[in-house]
Amino acid sequence: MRLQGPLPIARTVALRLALFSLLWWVLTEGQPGSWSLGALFVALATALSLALSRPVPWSAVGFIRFVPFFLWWSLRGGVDVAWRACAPSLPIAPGMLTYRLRLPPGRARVFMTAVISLLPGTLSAEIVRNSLFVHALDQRTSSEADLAALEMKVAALFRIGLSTQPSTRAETS
Amino acid sequence: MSILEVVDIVSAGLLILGGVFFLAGTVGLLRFPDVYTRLHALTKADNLGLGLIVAGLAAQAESFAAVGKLALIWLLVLVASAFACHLVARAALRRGIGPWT
Repeated sequence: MRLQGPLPIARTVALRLALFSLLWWVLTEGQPGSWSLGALFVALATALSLALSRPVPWSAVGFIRFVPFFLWWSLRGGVDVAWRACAPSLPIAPGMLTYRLRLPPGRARVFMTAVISLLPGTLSAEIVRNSLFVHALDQRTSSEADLAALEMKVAALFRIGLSTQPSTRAETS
Repeated sequence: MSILEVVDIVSAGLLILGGVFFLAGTVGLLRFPDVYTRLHALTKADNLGLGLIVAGLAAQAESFAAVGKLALIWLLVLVASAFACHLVARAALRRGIGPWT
């Protein structure tokens, strides 16, 4: 699934032009008269975004696989916490987990940190070197295996090869 | 039953369900014992609630651009709440607030 484009920078520019054009179309609700101004701002926004952030390698296949996974798990996350909040016995058993991250520092790691907080029962609290501290709403059901599965998906999205699998273990503290 | 009525019923159902999740998130905020567990309730239940409300409104939208605008709002709230949640949890941890067990 390595879809290496011919010119990464040309692909990035084309993609960002398309994204900002889409954004303009959405914001103006498709008024045809707005495009003379829109073209200018799309070009300016693309130039600014290139100046502010370097091209990120990402995989379209990884993205297509990630979206349904993310929607399904955020649905489960919402249902899970709503049920726990409303059950009379308040079935929670919170605690902290420590997870050894295999993703390198950078955007992939930031992305994973954000997504963890939207998954069922987990909330990322702190990163110290390669350890991610995760608060679990229920230690009995939140597992390191879920975090490892998420990490694999994020790695596929950002086209990162994870070091085979030795340090998948996560110790609870 | 016409197709418009079906759309109205689906839309109303999604909006009410979304409201239920917002209510559950608020119940969690009141009942959960510490800052970390309360963050769980707020981020997850409210994001799902907003997602359902956005879906319910999108069913009534007059154009695809309006649907896109609603989706964009949901995405921005999702990003903001994921990072705000992380930052609040981190600040609490750095202040030495231990999780309730």
